[in-house]
Amino acid sequence: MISTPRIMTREKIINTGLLCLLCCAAIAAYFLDQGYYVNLISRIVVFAIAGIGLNLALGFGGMVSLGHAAFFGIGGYIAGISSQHFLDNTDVLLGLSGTNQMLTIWLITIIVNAVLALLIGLISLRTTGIYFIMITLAFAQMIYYFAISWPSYGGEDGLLISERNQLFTIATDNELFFFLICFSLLIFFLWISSRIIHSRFGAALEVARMNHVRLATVGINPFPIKLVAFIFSAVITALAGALFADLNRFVSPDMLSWQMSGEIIIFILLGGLGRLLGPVIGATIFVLLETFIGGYTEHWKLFLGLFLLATVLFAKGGLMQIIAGKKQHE
Amino acid sequence: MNKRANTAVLQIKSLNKSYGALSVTDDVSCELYPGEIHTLIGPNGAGKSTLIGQIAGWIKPDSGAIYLGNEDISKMSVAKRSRMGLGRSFQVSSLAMELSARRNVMLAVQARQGSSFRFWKAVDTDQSLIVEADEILKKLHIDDYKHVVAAELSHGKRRELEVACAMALKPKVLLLDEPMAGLDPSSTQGLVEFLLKLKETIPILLIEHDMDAVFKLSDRISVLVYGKLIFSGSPEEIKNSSDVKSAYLGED
Repeated sequence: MISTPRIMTREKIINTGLLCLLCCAAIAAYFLDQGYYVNLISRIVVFAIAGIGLNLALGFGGMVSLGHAAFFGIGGYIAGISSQHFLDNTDVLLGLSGTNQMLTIWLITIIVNAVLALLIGLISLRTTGIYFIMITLAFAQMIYYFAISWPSYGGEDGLLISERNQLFTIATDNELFFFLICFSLLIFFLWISSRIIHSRFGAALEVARMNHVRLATVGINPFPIKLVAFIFSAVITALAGALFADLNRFVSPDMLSWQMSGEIIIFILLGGLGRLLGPVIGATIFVLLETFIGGYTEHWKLFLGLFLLATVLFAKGGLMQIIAGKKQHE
Repeated sequence: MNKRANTAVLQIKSLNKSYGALSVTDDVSCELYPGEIHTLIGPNGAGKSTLIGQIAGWIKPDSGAIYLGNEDISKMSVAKRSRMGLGRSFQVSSLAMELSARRNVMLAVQARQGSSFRFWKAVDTDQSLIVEADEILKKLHIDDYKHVVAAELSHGKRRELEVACAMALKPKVLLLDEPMAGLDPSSTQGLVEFLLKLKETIPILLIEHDMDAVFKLSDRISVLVYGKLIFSGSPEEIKNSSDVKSAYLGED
């Protein structure tokens, strides 16, 4: 099969169209005075970022992590804890005061989660298949139970964020402004991950997924490649978590639960595994089902299940494959 | 012989490997000298692929050592050995099946350049990879297939592509595990000629079942039976050896 540039362009056009649609919908909703719907679209965008993170590990690197909620939740808790200490004017630890500045919070989120992903990756990437899934799940569950049993930050009840954290002097309480922050980060991470995937590193990563024997045979050790991808992946998902906490002004152990890990996987599967915009499409479907079918019945996940079943059975490449055709490699 | 021993490019010293009571590599020692093709033959289950696996690094020997030039590579990882100059092809093709022939070779070029932690520049348009990959594909006469994904290549073309990937590493030594298997006669002939030319620059340790090709190619042939090297000599000597006949050639 010879790759045709025509299909590549087609996917690019579809990608641009979808992103414009998302942005326009939010702006329209805002000017129609529908703040609720703006937040809904922000929710889609934040989930999509979490999915873009996991997609690097799962879709491109073939690492089925069932523990990405750990990074998502820790990102959320960093935003929540920092904000609580800032508002109480107390120290987080060792004389370190809280902050309500998003940039600082994001920086801390990146550092903490990179270190955590390094540790988890060093251990879990020695295994593959079901063992890798179970080890990543085990780490996430440990952190989940830790959060539940830590009363100073709400334990099981979670932690309220009474005021959204700030980005410079932007009024983050404004739904549209907050959406635009999330949307800019979405575009930024799409761009970053597109660059990474098409780079030499990305080429090695994709071969690590396709055939690790081939990769080692040409002289590239798959382990460090996968480890670095796992860390990138974790950091992006964690930043989504920090945004999610600010969006809801609330963080709870639910963000760390294995259901959350599963949901991030679902975003990717619905949209298309290893497709740049797969998580965006998947998160959109997920949130729409959650909101509109969830409005009629609390058993909306039954429909999500049916949808997922249909995708996996009839459109293995996810919705992206249906609209943009099969994934192409040069 | 002694003078040559100092210059062996690849040296295997009393290698042993057993799975439980079954000894699959039994005190095997052999060398590969510059400019030669050294072929391992033996009946199925003689331990040829296990031996190659140990040289390449996938299988850990129980004892013994492997030298590439003067360097002991027995403790190195597969990737490290490849970077040191050990190129190989597999009995059952092992390629990135979803990628084009060119992309497969480009990966090998990239690996040799030692630059897989570059995150920014696009591979698709990286001339330093493309030019070199295309040269190698041309050398192996498979450049017509450079845009075809490996999964859609014929069995024979995949074998040639594997050799191309190995060549891209600019190896000091090539380990080829049954490169002729499944090739049509004309491709076999082409590959034989290619390997005869190649051995001048890169010595080859070969495993092959096609006896015509073996006798055409080999400077030296070693016979492996039940994990033991029972005979080593020139093609003429092999043909005339009664031991080899009873152990291998006769039964075929």
